Amino acid sequence: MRVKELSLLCIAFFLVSCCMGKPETAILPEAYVDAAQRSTHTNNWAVLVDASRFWFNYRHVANVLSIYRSVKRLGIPDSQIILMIADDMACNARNPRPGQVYNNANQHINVYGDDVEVDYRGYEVTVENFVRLLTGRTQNGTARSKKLLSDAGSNVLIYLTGHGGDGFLKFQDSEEITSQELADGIQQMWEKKRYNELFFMVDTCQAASLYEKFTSPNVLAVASSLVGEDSLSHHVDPSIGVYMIDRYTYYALEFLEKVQPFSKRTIGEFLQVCPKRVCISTVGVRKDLYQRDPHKVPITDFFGAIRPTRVSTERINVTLANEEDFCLDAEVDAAESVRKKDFKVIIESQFPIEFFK
Amino acid sequence: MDLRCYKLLILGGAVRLYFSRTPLAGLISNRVEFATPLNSYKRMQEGVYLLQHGIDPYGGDLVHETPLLLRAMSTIFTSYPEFLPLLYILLDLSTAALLHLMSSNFVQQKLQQQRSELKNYAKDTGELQYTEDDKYDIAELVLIAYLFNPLTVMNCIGLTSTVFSNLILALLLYSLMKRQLLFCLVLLSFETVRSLYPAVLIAPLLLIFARRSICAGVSIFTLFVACCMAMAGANFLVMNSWNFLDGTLGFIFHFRDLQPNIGLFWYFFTEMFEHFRTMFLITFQLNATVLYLVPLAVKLRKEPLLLATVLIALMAVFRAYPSLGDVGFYLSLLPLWRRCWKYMSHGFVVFAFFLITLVMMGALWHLWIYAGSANANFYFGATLAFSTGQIFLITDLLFAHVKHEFCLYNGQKIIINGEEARILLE
Amino acid sequence: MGLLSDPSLSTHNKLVDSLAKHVRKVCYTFYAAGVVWFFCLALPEFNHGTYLSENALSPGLVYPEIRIDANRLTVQLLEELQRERKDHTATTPYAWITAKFNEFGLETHTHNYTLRYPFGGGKEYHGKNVYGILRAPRIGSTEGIVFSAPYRAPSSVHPDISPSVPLLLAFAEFARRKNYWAKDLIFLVTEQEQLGMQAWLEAYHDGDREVDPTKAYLFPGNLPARAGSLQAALNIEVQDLDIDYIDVKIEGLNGKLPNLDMFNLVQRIMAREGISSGYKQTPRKARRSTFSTFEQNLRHIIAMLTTQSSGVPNGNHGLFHRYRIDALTIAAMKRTTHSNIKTSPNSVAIPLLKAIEGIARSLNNLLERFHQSFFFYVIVHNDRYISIGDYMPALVALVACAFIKAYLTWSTLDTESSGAPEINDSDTSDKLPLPYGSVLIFLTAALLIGYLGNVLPLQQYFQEIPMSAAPLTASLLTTLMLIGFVLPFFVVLPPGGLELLHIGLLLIYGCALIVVGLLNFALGFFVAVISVPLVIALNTNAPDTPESSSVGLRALIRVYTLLLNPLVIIYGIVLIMTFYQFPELGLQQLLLRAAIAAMDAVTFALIDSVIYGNWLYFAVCTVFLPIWIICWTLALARRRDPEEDEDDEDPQVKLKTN
Repeated sequence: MRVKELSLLCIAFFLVSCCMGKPETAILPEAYVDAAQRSTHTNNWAVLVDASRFWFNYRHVANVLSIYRSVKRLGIPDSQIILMIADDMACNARNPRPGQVYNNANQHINVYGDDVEVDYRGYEVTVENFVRLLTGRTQNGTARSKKLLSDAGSNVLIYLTGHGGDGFLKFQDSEEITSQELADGIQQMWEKKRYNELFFMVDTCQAASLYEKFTSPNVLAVASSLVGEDSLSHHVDPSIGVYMIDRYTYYALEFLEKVQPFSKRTIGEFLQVCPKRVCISTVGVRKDLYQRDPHKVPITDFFGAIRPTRVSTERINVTLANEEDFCLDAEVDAAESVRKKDFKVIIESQFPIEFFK
Repeated sequence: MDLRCYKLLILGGAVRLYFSRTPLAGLISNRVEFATPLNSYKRMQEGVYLLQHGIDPYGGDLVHETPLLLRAMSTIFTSYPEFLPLLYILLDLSTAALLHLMSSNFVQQKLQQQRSELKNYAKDTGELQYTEDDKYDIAELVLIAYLFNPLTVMNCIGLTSTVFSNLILALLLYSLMKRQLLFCLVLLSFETVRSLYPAVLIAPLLLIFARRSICAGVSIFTLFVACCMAMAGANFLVMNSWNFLDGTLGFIFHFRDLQPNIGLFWYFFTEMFEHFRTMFLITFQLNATVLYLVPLAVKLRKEPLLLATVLIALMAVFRAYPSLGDVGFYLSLLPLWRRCWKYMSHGFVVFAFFLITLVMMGALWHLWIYAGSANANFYFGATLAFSTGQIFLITDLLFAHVKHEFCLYNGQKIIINGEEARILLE
Repeated sequence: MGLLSDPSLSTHNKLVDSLAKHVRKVCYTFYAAGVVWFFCLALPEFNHGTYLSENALSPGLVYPEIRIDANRLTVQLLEELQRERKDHTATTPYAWITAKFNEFGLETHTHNYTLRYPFGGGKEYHGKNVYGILRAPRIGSTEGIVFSAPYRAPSSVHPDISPSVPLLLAFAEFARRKNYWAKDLIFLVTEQEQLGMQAWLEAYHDGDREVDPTKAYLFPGNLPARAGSLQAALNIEVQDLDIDYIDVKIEGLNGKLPNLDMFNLVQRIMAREGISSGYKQTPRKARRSTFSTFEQNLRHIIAMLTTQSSGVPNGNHGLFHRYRIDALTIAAMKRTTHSNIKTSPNSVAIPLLKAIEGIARSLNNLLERFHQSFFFYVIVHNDRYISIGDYMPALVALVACAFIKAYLTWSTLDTESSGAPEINDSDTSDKLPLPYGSVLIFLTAALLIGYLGNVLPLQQYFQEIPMSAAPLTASLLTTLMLIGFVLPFFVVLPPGGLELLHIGLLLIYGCALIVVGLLNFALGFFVAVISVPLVIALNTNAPDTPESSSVGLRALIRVYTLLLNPLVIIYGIVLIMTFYQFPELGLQQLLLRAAIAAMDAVTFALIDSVIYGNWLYFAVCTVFLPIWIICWTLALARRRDPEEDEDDEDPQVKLKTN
């Protein structure tokens, strides 16, 4: 069963990569479409960035720590979460609750718990470091915890929050990353096979402008507001005297809190999490680069690291597939021939770029 | 030099002495308009102290004076500091006296030249020609303009090393008039090694001494380069290291200190993106040195002293660390061109401009630095306006010279087709 | 570039010539434009609504945590203080204040200072301030905020503001129990009005500097403890715990204002606490007026500029401005009206305490000094302001008159003198020599008279004269003024001198107005409004020339010049103020009383200039007095006939004119 799926997937992927950028899912045979909806990733990574500093931006830190808490709860280990926080709110002298950060005025959850690992902090959060992190061009001597060691099988979640404008996101108080730089970074990730699928989530003003320039495949993007709109904060904690969390992240979190590791919730549901009625800004979604139907993608594909495992005591032969199995004109035959062989596991790179040579 | 001049000199000295004993002196030596990183008294003091204690003054970021001058000043700085203002006043007075001698010499030469060309002049141009009296009048005007210009007075009481620069430039102009080639070269090379920009003054030098002989020109230029090297070598002997080159010339060229001054560099280089710095550095430095050199030298080949005046003025506007002392120096050269004044149409406007901008600089500096309610843009606005005023003055002078030359040969009233003639730039 | 390379060979510009004929009309147009612009500022189209531009302040986001027990403490402290005041009728109860600060756990210190009064044989006064520092619990002492309350002894002539101290103490007690302070809080009780505050500030900033005992008058001493660079300050003057409204005072030394954000912050917090508050707020009854918005706005603008123009701070906050610390005073007024809605004594101090807490927490949020919003503004209404870019054109138009007139006068001067060479085509001189030297010396003499007015009253030998301060200063100034007054009768400038002097005057006058206007817009504007017409009207043309004005106009100009004499103006202002203050006085008494008050005013201005650094006295003496002398010379327009001998000139003038 598993083998069949895999092989089908290989082909489907090949097809998909043939018509990259022009999704024509409709004309593909249903079987392939189904297969294509299955996840193919082998590991999960998350890059969570708070780009703004200063006490009055407490909410941005709360945003990013809340997302951090959720992905960690859903199974992504700290070693695969890169957390960038530009300022230390927990230890800010103005914080009436030293060492604690809350994302809600009722102060149920201290999101700055005992096991938060901040990888980039304070002035380390720069555009340069962020781009180096994404593209893997870290400088010599960079700690392993500060590297995004993802591969072609990784599903990567990128979450950004801070102050944005049309086409840029401000980092610290001195520089900004433009939407073009972001798009270039992600394109380079794709070319270097640093992700399988990428979920880009951003909560800033005019957030939708940040994903406009994307061209890389397999990217699903969601933004808290459209161009020309402000993203708004949710509420104030009058005992601390700051805004606690942004609206979009607040409702996203409300959704995520209900997700359990083996939940059947899909990304599609997640994309509708904050209707304009409550968000005030319009949530922007970009699906055209993404091949799968979000409603069939489990949310844990990005927000968790949940892999169903089957313990097998049987002996399994592992052989590498021949390239001939994947020639252009015989794809269907190949698929059928593979179906007949029950015990063969084919491991193939998911991005058969060699065909294009 | 007659009795009157001595009286004036004594009066000028008295004014300087009086003000150097008031609190104004301390104030001026700290004002950015007068004391730049290059010429400030404090830095000179620091340099002398470091040199005497065997510490390389150029290892730090404070001292940008040449070792020769530091060594020369070290005795008086340490043993007789109370006589320092007196020394600076004496130097300033000798600058004034030299300018006086130079200008009477210049008028003398002009008269000779006029005599030989008199037949070519148009009839009604008496007022455009230099007269015998000018030998005294112009020289005296130059003297007064240097002695009683508030800018030079304050420069002197602020004990900036621009006093030395002015003295050397005055000496240079004097020896140019006296046709002392070797002396000229030594002075010029000394000043070039000190503050880089005077190198352009080689142009008037060549015009006077080479007299259209390329051979002589090349050899003088070679001599100049050799002199500069010798001067650098002499400085090297004081220090026994080449560090000073980076500390003086390198410091000027790279514009390492962004302290505000009356020039155009600081604001621009503060605001600029770092990766454009090299490009703009070269552009700005070219602008301050060779950009105007060739066209002006060609145009003014018959008037080397006017060329020198204009070059000194342009230097004062465009150099990296200009101070008001430089401005005062070239302003005192303007009376030399008294016969062109008739055509300087913006004299009053420029004067009013100078007055307003200088007064505003003080007020805006106070608001920016002390009151904290204004900011750098306000101050830069005033300095920019001041520079614009200077440019007005220089172009006005050049244009007046062109008109003057034209009218001298063609008469003052030219009527073409019943209308007044106009000069067109082509 | 046509401006730079005027191609015409002729040195005359026809446009300038024709303009020069109508110089007065041009100038009056500019003057009118400036004044009209100023009036337009009161229109709602010309001013803007206020807003907070500093994000960090986040005003009003916290719930006040101050509780009813703070009120109890305040009332109790006030009772204690009232008891203390019975024992200390002329002094501050230092011991009680220090004990309370200590009791609340603050780092408490006292600060001693000495004033050597410049007059009356150098009598010395001693003063003492008490302050307590609450150190920020979790951060280094690099920044601080000051909360100050002036203490007035019962013998003081000013209104009683003793509840300020209990209020400050109660807030200190509350603040000490909180852990969220990111800046040190300094609670300061000063005495002797602004003197104590000035001494404390000087000690805080330059306390370790040696002062020359012969030159200084205020010896601030040193402080035992500091709290980093001060970011902001709030001065509290409370007349009674039961408050009617709050008047926010902002005008500081030399007309400097705190950042507009600071004012907006206070307004915002007061509004949240439901306290009626505003700039130049008046009791409710008086607020109900029949004026139109325009008229109200205009009155507000003029009231603000009037307060600013003297350069004297209207509260202790004003002295902070000198050190780049944004500060203002909230003056809480006693409830005199609506006594039926008296708040219950159980919570009487709560709104004010909550407001102070809110302001403190917002200031605590500051990340850098106030810099976002305006420093130059005029408040039109509590929530409307005019920014510098909008009000400056009014002054610029007025100042432009002086420069335009100077330029046009200069160009006509040029044509007059260049007509000469055609006639006497001699070799020696082809231009009528302008007497630059003598004019310069005249100017220097005028400036010197002004400068003397600045330094003479403080000289040792004058101070030893057995005379009290006010008549001494006033008589010295009057003497100088008289010298200036008679100067034009003795010194008559050579031909052309008056014209040159006129141009010199216009340039100096223009520059002086620019500088004064930049440093203190209000003063510059008022001076310009009253003096520009004179400067435009002044005419140096010889009486027989066709352009000269009629005899009547000439006399009018002279009278106006006399009226504009700085001393006359000061007397006039004081007279008007006295008239309004004591309307019952007879004319003779009124004039006498005003004369005494004017002498006092001059002396106070002088003392202000040496102790607080108020430059009004300096500006009037060193700049406006000489300008007046020159104006007077020009208004008299005494000219020497060309053939007259140069006997009455002093020898120096002779030296330079040849």
